[in-house]
Amino acid sequence: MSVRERVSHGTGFDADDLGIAVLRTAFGNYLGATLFLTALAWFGLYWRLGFFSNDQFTFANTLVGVADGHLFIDRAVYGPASGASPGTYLVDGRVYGRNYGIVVVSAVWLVALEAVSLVADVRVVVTGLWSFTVIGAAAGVGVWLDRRRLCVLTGTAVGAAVFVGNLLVATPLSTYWYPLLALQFTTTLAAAFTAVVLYRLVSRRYTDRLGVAAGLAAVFATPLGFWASLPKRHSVTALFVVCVCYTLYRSREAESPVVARRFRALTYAWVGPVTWVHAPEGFFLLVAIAAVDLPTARSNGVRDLFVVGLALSVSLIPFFLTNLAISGQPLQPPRLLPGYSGDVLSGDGKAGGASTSGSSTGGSPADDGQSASGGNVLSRILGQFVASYTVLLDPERIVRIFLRHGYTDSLASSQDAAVNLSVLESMPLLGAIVVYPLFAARRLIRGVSLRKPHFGGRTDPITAVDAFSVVYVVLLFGLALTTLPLHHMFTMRYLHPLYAVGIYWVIRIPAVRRALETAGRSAVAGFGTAVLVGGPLYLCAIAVGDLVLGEAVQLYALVALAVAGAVGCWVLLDTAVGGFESVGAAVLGIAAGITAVYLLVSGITLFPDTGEFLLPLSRTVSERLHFMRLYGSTPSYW
Amino acid sequence: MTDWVVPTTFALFVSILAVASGPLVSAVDVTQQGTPLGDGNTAVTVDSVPTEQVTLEQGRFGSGRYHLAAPPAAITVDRVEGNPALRYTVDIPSLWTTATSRYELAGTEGTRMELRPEPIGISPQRVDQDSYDAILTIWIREGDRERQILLERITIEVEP
Repeated sequence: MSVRERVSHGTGFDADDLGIAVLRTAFGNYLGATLFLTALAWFGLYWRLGFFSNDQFTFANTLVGVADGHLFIDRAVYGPASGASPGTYLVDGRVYGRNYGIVVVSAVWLVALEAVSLVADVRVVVTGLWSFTVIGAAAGVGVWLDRRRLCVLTGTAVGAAVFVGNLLVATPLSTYWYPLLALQFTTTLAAAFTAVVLYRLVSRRYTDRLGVAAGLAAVFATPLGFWASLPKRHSVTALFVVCVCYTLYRSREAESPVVARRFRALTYAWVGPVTWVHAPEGFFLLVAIAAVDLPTARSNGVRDLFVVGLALSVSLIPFFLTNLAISGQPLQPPRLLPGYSGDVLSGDGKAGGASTSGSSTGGSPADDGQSASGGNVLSRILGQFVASYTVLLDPERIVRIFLRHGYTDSLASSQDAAVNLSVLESMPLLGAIVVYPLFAARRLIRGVSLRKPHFGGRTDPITAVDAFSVVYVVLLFGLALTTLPLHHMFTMRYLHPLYAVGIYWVIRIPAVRRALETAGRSAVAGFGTAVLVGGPLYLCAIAVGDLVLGEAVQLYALVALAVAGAVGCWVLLDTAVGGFESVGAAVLGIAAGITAVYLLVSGITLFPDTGEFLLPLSRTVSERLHFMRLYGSTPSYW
Repeated sequence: MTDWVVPTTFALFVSILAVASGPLVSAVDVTQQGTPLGDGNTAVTVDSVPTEQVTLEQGRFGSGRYHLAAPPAAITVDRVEGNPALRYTVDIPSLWTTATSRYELAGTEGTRMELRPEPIGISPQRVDQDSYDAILTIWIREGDRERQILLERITIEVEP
């Protein structure tokens, strides 16, 4: 009798069904699971082990504390010995970190990792797992193409070959990296699930093919891939924003009021985890949900509102409990506490002083590390929004943020390295959204109201999602624009959820859907050409042209801008006159392809951190490419 | 179900290998440590260093910042034991900055090596002279001992 049979024996409970139910909830169907594995395999290729910015020391130190069973940091294992890395706070002589939502989840992975390390070589385990993501993805593709056997065998051959290759150049994985690895695992899962949820949303409204295209675009053609394995909050907040889109859609689409109510409650439940990770982003997510959900709901009866309120409250419990444990006040997240400036953990015995100016390099839009009372917070937020929307009137800054970043002299002389990209340079596919003003103009000319036709007397589900995405992005701008442009943004990371929403906006354009539906092959060809030709070409340009880091990043930026322009021109032309499907699909494929090239090349050679990678082969490739004038030293000195 | 025989076999292989190389069994060691850095000794000859042609060049493609550009310095590694290290620096005192690149020497015996200065970036906001005095040095690290094998005073021109 197998374990499964023993578990379910005589209970009338079938573990098989339970497993399938769990998988269905997480991935939707096998296509969702395939996308998930594809995303993990891709992110794994350039998964670096190293601290990309100094607030990640805080992250890792906090995780060490949480794994020891407490929320405070008592050992500064990473970063400065004083433990005073950005994002640390001081309460009653104890040092705390932030982003506890990510830290607590990562603690589970850390414990698992340490358990595994007792019996097995962790390097062998992680490289083996990576090979299995390849095999799993290949099997999924096999089902899709109805070539199961061939695909499984090919996938296994590739996975096994890479595994052996990895072993040939493997070095031991130091325990030093375990906490970082756990944090990276959380953010990578979040990024992979973002693609899955986008697939589910798009395939529910349109077709599987468009859903798969949306999911793949999220993985390969957006900065979601850039931040996937970098332990920051961005991947996680982006995930929950698309989760809101999905459940909001389901709540409007459902025929049965019970199902509708369930999904509506779930929509509000995503607020809790985001707030636990980053309170301001959670708060404005809630505002955006409420602003769209309340006016468009089927009914706002006492019972409906009670269920919604209950879901929201329950989801916020971890956030409240964490705050209660840290500051004694459930509504005061770490970011509102006094900043820590060192000397508690450095062991000179004095209780440390709180810093008055807590400006941090890894800070957040609503972050200046000072304590503030409720009214104070409100006026500060209001001030921030006013300041942010004023930025919209400053063409110079708007161009830097959204179109062409380049060298920006408003940054301090120590922080003006041209390693940052604008929004459009980060995701050239977004060039397609220039068509929206055209849609609006058309409607105005035809005299049709901006409201879409109703859906059986109710709001069309997609209209609710459209409205939410716009309201959310407007609020996100209000939160972030005033701080931009800023150093260490790379892909305008404070606007990160915009890229996930951007995929949705692009797929909502009829010309894009028509092109992908009728000329999918052109899109694949465009993508393949861009990757297979563009990748080696980019590496050659860096090597032959003797480029330094800033030049390499900005060279990509110029190419991305040109391609974004082509995407924009095509979509306007196709919308105006029609009939350019296969050209359009190819252009979209190229735009996705060059972004994929940048993700891979930047991950492996431009920003290799310590030169240490999850996959030993990635490290070998990275070291082989060091003839470029990017670093000068031999790889062990990066 | 036969589709899964091959991947399952692979899974079994990975699991067995992972445990066999793990701390409990330690039957095989698939991971190897590199040679420790900086330990050992060496003899090198400096063939040439750039003295006239070191410049500060402004980045192309709109990247704006200046970076150090120079033809490579060339050395011949006559003899190597262990993994000693070499440090090549260009110090620009009036800009408060030093470009440092480091090289492992293990496995380079009898070869000619090209050294390149670290392409440090310097903000255009800080570059206010046409040329800068700089000091170019090469150091060898052998265990705890570090010795200087070259010191050259040079002038760095700022490319317009």
